Amino acid sequence: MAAYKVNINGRVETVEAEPDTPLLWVLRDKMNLTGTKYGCGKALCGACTVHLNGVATRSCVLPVSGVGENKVVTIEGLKDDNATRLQQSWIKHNVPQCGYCQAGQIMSAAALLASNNKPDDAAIDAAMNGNICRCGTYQRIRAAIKDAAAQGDTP
Amino acid sequence: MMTQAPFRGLDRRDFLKAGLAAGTCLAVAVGGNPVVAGFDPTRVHQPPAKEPVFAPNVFVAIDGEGGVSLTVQRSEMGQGIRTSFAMLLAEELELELDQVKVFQATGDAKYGNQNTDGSRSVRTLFVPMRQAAAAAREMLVQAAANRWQVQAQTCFTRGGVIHHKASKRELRFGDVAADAAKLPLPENPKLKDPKDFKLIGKGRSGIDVPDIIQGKAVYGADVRLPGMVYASIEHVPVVGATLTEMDDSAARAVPGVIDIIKMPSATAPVLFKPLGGVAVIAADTHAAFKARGVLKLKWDVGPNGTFSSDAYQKSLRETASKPGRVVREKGDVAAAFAKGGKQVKRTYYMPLLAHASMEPPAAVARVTDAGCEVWAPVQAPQRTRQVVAGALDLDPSKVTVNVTLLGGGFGRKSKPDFVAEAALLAKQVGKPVCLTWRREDDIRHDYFHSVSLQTMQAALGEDGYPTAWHHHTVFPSIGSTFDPNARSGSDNELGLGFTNQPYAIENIKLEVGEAEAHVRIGWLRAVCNLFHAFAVNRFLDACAKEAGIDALTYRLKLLGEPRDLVFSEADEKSPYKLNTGRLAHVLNLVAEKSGWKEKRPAGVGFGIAAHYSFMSYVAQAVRVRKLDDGSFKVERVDVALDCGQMVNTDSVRAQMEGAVIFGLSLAIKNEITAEAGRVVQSNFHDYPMLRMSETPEIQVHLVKNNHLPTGVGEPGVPPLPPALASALEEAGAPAGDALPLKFV
Repeated sequence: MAAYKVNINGRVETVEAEPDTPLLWVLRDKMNLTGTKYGCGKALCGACTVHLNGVATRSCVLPVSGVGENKVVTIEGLKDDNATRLQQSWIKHNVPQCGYCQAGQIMSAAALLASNNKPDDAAIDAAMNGNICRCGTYQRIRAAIKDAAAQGDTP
Repeated sequence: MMTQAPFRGLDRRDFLKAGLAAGTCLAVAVGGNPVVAGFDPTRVHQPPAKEPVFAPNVFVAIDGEGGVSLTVQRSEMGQGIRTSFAMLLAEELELELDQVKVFQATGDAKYGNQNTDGSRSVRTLFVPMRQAAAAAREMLVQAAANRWQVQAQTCFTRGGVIHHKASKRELRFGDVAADAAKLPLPENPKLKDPKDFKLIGKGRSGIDVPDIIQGKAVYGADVRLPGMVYASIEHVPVVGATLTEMDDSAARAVPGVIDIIKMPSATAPVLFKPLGGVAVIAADTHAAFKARGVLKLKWDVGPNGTFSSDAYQKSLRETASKPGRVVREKGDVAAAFAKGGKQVKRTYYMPLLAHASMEPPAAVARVTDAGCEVWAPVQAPQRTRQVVAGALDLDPSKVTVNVTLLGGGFGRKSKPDFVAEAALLAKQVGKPVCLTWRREDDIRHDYFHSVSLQTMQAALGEDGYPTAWHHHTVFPSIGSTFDPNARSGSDNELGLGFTNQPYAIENIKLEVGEAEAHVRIGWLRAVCNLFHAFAVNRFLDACAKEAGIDALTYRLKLLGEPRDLVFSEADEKSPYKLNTGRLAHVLNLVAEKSGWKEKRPAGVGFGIAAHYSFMSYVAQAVRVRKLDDGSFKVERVDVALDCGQMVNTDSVRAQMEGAVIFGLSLAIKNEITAEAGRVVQSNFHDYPMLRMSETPEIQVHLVKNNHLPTGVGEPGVPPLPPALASALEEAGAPAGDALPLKFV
């Protein structure tokens, strides 16, 4: 076990963990931040997506020893304007079905909007293709992202 | 058929009385305390915080301040049942939807049937849930009327306030709740006239969405208890295998590992028993996963170790070539074939499928001297209670099953084997246990959807329509999970799109062959409808093509005049009959909306299919395009659905959209195979799912009528694969008679 100082949702926390422990399990099992989900353990499904310095990152394959001083934001700490617009849009479009993948979907969508405030279909495909939704809410996710992006235009 | 027609097979009076009799003992047994500051893992599932003063039945409770709560007894897995039932309650109590607090029932017989399967929660409870609310409304209004000494019918309620029209007096629910509790229960509470519905039949966003999008929603592995440890199980590689040797020294040396526990192998019938294997208990889930990787285990794989998908498919084919058990026969098929003329013969194959819900099986369990408490994403909470009680040798009354949100179910979570595992491990280690199945465990050790092979033969008359229809279906039965001697499909399974095939043909022979199961077989969304709808629709298209007749025209002609069809004694008694007119209507609707009759540009293929399942009527039209590089793109899917009276039209729409994606995944991507008894696939790289970039435009067309409500969660899936296969064929792809269609 080693002690790691990690910046999570704006606070620096110290966690005791084995160096190879994926950030996902540090969040879930050591910090009780269970909004980030396990889906595959191999960066195949995106359910575990968090932001690492604003970039969508699969926490299931990122060892805690690799986090360093990078800023981690999880669904629980996602609070900027883009996030608010996305979350409101998610409600308006009634996007989730079972909801299990949706934290990861929103994290990916928020990272997309942060770098591209007017994503077209191709940009949405590229940013969201790593997030599987078994319930099949893709059409609504696409519509919700576009709607949130459009909301961002109007001050 | 009208909405208010009495339900048969479910006695509404008994249902209501059962609720009423148990009225005072509300679901207050949940004991999980929040243990982390600012994080309450059981938040959405806790019973009402305030003591209810008026609870006319186990579903509706009103506190002294007028707060209204609904206890939902069915599991939420994305179909939106918590929202739909809240809408039913709000409708009859004249509330806004956000005035209803929704709580989740534990597994308890006092709630009636809690099995969330068969696309039947709204179908069977549309009237009873409204009655439960209407009874509360009548009693509250009567209590107010008594206070004012006026006639109840001169009062009305809106938004939690009871009004007396003439005197303009008002009382809140909370003001009269204690009085209402003393009144006799109404014999037959009056339901609102459908023409006065304000919520039912409208679209509403799900009540759990705000929690979901903030990461606050609680799923199976999200509960955190004091002293909790984490578990993962290396299951037997083959059903019935037994452990012969184990060296766990390296596993025990993995930092964080607390214990290694052998779990006995399930013997036939496998039922919902834990499968068996070796469990790792650790300080966190990662340590448990990691230690599994260094366990040195040797197995005697047992008789299922010979199971190989290629050889198995050959055996199914051989069985289908021999006479089977005849389950429906009309006229003389052999004589019609002997007459000669055009004949069509095809064979259809569908592989084993895994559910692969995004949330793999997971559960939290705590065992104390007082009994066992579990938190789990289960579709069958009462069955879970029984299975856990059986595993721990406890009286079921000592087991509390808290139902979390389900991160997808699709039938997998009707089987509580994983909850029993968590409970057994919690007992053994004497600490609360959080068990997580790895994705690999989920894919390899599922209760798989049956593999199937079907042969079909038709003789076409001079007009091109079939004069004889011979269909032989072979698949291992779900019954094998319960009885190792069950070798062929049950009446129930065969009634899913096989024996109730609705097309009017003079000579029909339907046969079923025997097949042995070598893996656990279980229900998967739409169950046997998946392969039967595939074969029947593909074969109709093959016949239509041979006859040179349009696929829509062909189906409409064979459906014939609008009429109710009866295939069994049960159908005779059922208020739900397959009506050919309603099936024809969704076909016509989807054709009109999709532009079926318009001229098709080069490289574009269209396919159409229709299927009746779970008492609902669905037709789909799929449009694909051949791209320059020779690949195919699914451009658009139109869905027409007639499910009778709808509650939340937006969740109905969402279920159809989701069914299209689910259907596309199984049509072009999903296949489970086995070699030497072991499942080959393991994760989303070799058991892939449809993704955003592959998602077509989906247009859903809902038929509005006042027929009895029917199924929504499952019926959208079966028509997709055959419609897609036919669209691809028209666009120049090879004839796809075996799924998945790997060339897309």
